[in-house]
Amino acid sequence: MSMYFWYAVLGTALDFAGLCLLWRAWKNRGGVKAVWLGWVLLCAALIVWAMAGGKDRGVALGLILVSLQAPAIIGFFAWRDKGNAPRAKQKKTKQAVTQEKTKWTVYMSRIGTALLVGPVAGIIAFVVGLGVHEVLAMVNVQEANALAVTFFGFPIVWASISVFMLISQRTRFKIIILSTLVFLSILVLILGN
Amino acid sequence: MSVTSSNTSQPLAKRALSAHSVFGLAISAVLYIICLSGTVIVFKDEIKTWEQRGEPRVEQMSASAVQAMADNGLAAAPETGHLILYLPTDNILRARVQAGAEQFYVDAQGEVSVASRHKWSDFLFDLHYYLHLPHSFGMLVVAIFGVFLFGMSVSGFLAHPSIFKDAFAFRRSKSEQIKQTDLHNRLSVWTSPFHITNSLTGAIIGLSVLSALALGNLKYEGNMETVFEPIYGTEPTANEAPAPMANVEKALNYMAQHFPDIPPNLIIVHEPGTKGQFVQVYAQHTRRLIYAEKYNFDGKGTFLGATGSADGQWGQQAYDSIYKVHFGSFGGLPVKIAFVIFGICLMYIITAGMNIYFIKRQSKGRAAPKLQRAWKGLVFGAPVMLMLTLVLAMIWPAGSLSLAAVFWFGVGAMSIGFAVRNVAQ
Repeated sequence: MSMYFWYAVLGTALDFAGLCLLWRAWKNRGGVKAVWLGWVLLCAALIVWAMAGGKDRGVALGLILVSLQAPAIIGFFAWRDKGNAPRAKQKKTKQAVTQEKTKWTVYMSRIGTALLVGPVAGIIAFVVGLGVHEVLAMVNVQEANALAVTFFGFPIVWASISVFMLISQRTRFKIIILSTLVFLSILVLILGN
Repeated sequence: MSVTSSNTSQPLAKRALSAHSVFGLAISAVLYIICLSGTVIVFKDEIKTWEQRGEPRVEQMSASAVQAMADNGLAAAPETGHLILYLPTDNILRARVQAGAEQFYVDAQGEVSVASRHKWSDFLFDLHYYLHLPHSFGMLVVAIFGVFLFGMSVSGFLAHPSIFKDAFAFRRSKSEQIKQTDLHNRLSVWTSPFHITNSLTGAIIGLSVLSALALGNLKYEGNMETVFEPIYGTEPTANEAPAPMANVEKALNYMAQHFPDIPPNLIIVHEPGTKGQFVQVYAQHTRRLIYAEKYNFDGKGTFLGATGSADGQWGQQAYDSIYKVHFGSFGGLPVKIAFVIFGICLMYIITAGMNIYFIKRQSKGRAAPKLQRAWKGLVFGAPVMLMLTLVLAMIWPAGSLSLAAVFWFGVGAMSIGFAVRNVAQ
């Protein structure tokens, strides 16, 4: 067996130990130290996995393992506890009491929301992404890195703006923030070109 | 730990949950189909090999055989601007040459066998990449679904202030709504590394073209290819004067001598058969997430340098890692199986999310039975129609039957059928 294999075994064990500690700590709603130790073990597992599978690939493999082990732990305890837990009475729900009639104003509002989080947020994110690229070019960041930030940033900013638009209830605040972002981006683009 | 805004607003968690629902309702149906096709596409190499399983099995090719492969590929399509040579790898024991729009299988000596025909794979790729829409538009649409899936992840995390403390809670003996909610939340949290990276990489693949288009117009007089040069390297100046085919054999011998631990898996000959031609040998760094490092050679097979995907700027490395991260092709069969499990989990998360929505509506006396049935029709119909298209492609591999039409018509019919059946009951 190669050294990498034993690193992988150690990484797997650390992953599992970290998850078990977190499960125990969170189940009892306490044990701050145990929570911290659980996270530390998970981080250590990722470091060991980086040694086992390569600096970026190893971390990805470690994360995959956590994503597989945690649901397995949940499934195991759910299966084990099922016999002990009293069966909850099914709450009777009203069976199709009414068919909802939706007013056209509600449909219009939904279309408006779709346009806001879709094309509008997308255009804002697009302009902000180009603006960020321009700023990075101005401060002499390597072009490959500036491109990566632009390409990676576009969907992240788009999604963030969409969530922000849906979550924030203060319309004026939303308009100020987003228009400032667009204004600054366009300004930077004009200055840089 | 609910955070409230300064005015008389709802708590942040409640608003985030509302945003999460808006996203979910808007995109679940199509997202489910993208996830389904993505889950199957994890095994794309195996499916392609299986679809045309009579072709010559090639475990290794000598440098001279690859040279013959290049010569034969160019002879098949002399006008092509790029000749792509797919070499056999541990996963794919086949060799193919792509010249223009045509692809041919090649034997171990580099002799062209038959044209490659992957009817079902092509259908599946078109579904996952473009939803069978015109390619440039379809890719954008799919990318937008990636953006919204990422948005759902963000709003989902914001909607659950005690997401960590509840990270292992699964109240199996409680009501259907609680069970569905627990499963939805637990799977979402623990598989979030998968669906966050996958949604983002999918979105980046589609949307980076838009950014590059704009940057090309702003900076490089409309030339989009120049935008990507810092990442993929610069192509030499074109020289259309005819020349003998590039010396691929010498390039491969150089690779074997200087980089024996980095196996080449793909070769691109740019502008083949011209004086300006040059060769890029894509070689796998098996312990990295990058797709491949590109080793560049001129037409005579002289080494010019590497592009830097493996050890260049971090931006180059990050961008080159998108493909393997998205398709789970960085750890052989175990990682592929894990990706299939995560794909199924994501489909379950989407389905459970919709179930929660319908249960909540029902408990409030606002049941939507037709819509619920239609959703069930889609959940069952999409995999069934995918199977049906596979069967049809096996029965009529060269037929002109449109698998896309069968799939979409079938899914639509099943959704409507389920909804109508409810009314009849």
